[in-house]
Amino acid sequence: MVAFAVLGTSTTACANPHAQVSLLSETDHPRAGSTFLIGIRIVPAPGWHSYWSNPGDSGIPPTIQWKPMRGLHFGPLLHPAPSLLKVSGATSYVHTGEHILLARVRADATLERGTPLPIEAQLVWATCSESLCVPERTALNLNLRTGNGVANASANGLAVAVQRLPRSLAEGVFRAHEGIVRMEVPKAAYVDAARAIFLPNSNGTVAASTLRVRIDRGKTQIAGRIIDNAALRISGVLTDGKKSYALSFRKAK
Amino acid sequence: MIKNLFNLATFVALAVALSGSGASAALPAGQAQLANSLEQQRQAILEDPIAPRVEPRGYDVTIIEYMDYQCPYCRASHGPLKQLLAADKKVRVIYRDWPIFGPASERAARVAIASQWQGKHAAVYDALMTTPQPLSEAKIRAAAKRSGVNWSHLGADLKAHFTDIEALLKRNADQAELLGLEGTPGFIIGNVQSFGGMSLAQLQEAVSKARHDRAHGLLGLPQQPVGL
Repeated sequence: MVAFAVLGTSTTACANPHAQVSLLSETDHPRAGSTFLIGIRIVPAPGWHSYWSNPGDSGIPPTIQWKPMRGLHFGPLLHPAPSLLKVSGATSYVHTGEHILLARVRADATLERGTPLPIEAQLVWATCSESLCVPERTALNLNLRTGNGVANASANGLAVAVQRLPRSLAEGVFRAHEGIVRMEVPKAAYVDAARAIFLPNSNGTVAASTLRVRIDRGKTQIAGRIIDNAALRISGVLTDGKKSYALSFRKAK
Repeated sequence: MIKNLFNLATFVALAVALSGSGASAALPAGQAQLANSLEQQRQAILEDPIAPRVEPRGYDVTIIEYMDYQCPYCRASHGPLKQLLAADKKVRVIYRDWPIFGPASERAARVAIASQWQGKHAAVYDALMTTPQPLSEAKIRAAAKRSGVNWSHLGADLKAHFTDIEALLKRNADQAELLGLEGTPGFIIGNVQSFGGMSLAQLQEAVSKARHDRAHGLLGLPQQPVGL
């Protein structure tokens, strides 16, 4: 294989019995001094799923190790909102169907034009059917080179994935009384309350399965059982399957 | 997802691989001898010097479970398996730890295996399977203590049995690979291998099939996969 021939997007399309995985960049030629998007496109086989950053009651969240490269700084993995999967009374937060995990990458201004940027990463994760879980370790790579930042064929898909990321809203407040927590959702969140669910970013603060989204006198509220009465902050994603919001609540004084 | 995959090909592969000789030509040619040899290899999976187990007196069926404490369907199968054992006192279970979901899974497996020398494996297994994920050193330790494990005693056992524990984990992983298990859980019940979690009804059905096979003299003879 000739080196320049592999320059570009989606050079890695790992054949895996349970999912197809490829690494994409919005540009083959990131501009020095800019931040650009890369994405891991995952297409689970029918009936298979992978996990959100918080897998819920059980599951294995993906972790990624980027090979350190001079002049590049990799941001955290950003997930779209997950869906719920209930198995034997346990609820997991999962991704089914095609989805893209995103990361923002900053290229130092000091990088010279034409510098090769061979991106390499190990995705450590798991794919599960409704009865079996398989550990996965996927090597991803993509050869970029600093340049003018021009968009490539993957740019649109990644832009759509960004649109689908839970939108961060201003911090709200929560109140806890006699084991019940009530979170006041900021007005900017428009969700179909009948379908909406709130998935906490970590377990142990609120009892996720008890949380209900409802509209009370025009205000959207999330209520349920609190586990950690000493908690000062609750964060998570509110989603109705179409729109999703990254929310954070601090304890009301 | 239940598959009957405990077939002849698997046994031949096992016979070659587990004998260590690598000499497939040395396999006995006669059917009786072949069966005999395969039975020996089956015993390598069915029996183990240190794999933790629940072994009631007079048991007539053995369940072997390949599992990881952080695997969702191992956890989902834990309740049904516990119910089965409570109701059916003639079922033996051999736990083959196959930690595939990272360092915390590996640590949990080692701690659970070592707890058997204090007679606490069943309690530790139960505690680890019901400890909220992700597991961590602190949670594993808390689960062990909650199970009545003497932690310093456990540390001593982990050291004293280090080689044995590592050899067991290696055996389990090798067997899982030979059996074609891609992930967890995997069960062998009688002559039938199942990939994936099992409900109480599925466990009961598999156990009764194993008893039926045994009553009809099928024990030890690999059964051709059904429906293949």
